Amino acid sequence: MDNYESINHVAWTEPRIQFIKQQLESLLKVVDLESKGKVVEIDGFRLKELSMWRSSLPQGILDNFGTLSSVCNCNCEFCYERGLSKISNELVFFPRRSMLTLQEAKTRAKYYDPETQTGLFITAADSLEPTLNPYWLDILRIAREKCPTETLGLPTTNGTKLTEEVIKQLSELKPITVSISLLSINPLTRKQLMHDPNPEIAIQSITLLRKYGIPFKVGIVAWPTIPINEIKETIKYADHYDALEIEIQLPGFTKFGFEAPPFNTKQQWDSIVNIVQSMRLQIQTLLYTSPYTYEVNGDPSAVVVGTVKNSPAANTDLHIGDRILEINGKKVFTRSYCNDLLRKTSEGLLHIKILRNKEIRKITIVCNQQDKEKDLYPYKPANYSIDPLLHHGIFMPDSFRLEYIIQIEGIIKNYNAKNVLIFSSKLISPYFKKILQVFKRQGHFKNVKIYVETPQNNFWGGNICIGDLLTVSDYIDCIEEFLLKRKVRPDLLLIPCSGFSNWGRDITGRSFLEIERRFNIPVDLIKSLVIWR
Amino acid sequence: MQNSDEFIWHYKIDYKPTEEALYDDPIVEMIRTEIQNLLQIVVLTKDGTRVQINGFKFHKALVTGKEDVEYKIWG
Repeated sequence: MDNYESINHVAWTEPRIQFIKQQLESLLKVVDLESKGKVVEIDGFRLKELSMWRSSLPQGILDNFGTLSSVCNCNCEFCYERGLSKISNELVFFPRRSMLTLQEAKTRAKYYDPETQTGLFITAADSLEPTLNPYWLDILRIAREKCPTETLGLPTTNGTKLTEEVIKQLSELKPITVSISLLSINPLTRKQLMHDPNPEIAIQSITLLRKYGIPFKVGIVAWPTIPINEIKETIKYADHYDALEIEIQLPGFTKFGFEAPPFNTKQQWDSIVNIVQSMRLQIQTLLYTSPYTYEVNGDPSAVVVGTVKNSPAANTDLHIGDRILEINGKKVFTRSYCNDLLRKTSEGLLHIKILRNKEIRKITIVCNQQDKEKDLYPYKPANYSIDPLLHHGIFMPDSFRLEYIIQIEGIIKNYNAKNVLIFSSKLISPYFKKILQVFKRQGHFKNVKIYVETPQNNFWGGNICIGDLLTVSDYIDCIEEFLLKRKVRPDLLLIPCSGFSNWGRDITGRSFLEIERRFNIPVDLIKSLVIWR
Repeated sequence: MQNSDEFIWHYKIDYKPTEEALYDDPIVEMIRTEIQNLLQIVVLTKDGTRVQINGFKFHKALVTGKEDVEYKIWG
């Protein structure tokens, strides 16, 4: 039998399977297995009682299905996969040139509970073009049948297969949303940068998604060879056809894809941020850069980035750039806390106090979810549920949470630690250091010396500066350098957990516990959420 | 048991060791790698507090002839 599942793909999400494999291998080195007195040979094992293998992690049904396809029909200059074949055996999700089968999708649907949104453990695999799976529409139908009212989010597509016939079929599966990597409305650019042989299909799909009333998100990788005017025209095009949101991705590259930097990162990123900030005021669609933390230099303040077209917030006097100070009488300090409060108050009146041009104003938002039939495209097309993350239509990407500081203080007390080394990312650390000082002045962290270090993304190299992509080896490099430089031996190491799986594994499948063993210093994880945008 | 129409998650067993053995004795190696593998997914505790280990030895009660030898878990 040669179609075994790869153990690497579960090392990230369900290492107990890897453990079972290793146990069996250890045993087989010292015993033979028998049946009726005769030695039997085995070369594998299978999971039984699948209901025991359900994950407690809530996720949408399509997320639980995992990767629909790990093949692609484009060959983008900026693809994150570029050069990864050199390290394919080091990554848990790569390579897996495969398609989700109908049988796996049906089995996953069978064990998926729509109420708790939990299902079988997911397998980590490279997620590429979903529409290349010959059964992708059938798989979506399986998901729809299992979850009749859930809004299905199609994984990001390059749009090459989104013909009118396909979009028509997608519209029969509503409520559904599509995320399309458009790049540019210039066919030549798509041809040259993505190697898309039929660029018109993806470009045209925007108009068709609007025609069939399917909300869509547009992604544009702001690669430096795309002329600025073209980026602006593409933004206007997406805005004209009522995109739900437009994400401008600040371009990234790894050392595996490029031997020398293909562009000056700061120059390109700053230039794109300036364009986006200016365009944001010219269009009605939500427009943001990703990672947004770069644009605000780590500042987590609750500043409005935009509102969703046709949302309750869009019909008020709330402006881009307004700083939210209070929501229904509760003081707001960070975007994350603001989002928490917004999500909690989904019905009725929302009284907001804002700061605009040094002037405090009050705004009231009326949120009424009663009318399911009402078409408020793209915010809430007819018979769609309101996105729980955008009840009022106020958009601000999540940020650093002040509760992390309280959590950190609790962990330090538990360990009775006196010299603590805390890791933060390049984008978050300026703010983190500042807020730490504020808490110290207020009397927190008494008799504790705290060091904050920012590990380099050595594993990925290039211009990657995302904390959630740091690996165990990056942390080890950073600690070694710290010990050498500072001549201080910390008695506790604290690492944000957002770069690790639920089982504390990094993208290469290594456990954070390796760091503890390496340095013989206790390591604990700070329960932090991934900041996607 | 699973129904026959369900997708089967099955995984291959490799007989060849993936990392070099620390000890020649296969029984010691089996126990060492079992503890090592276990410590990749659990932490050991005593009264709720984490306990770190880096070795093991056989119980004296066991007639193994190895009771005084301490074995390392990691090389």
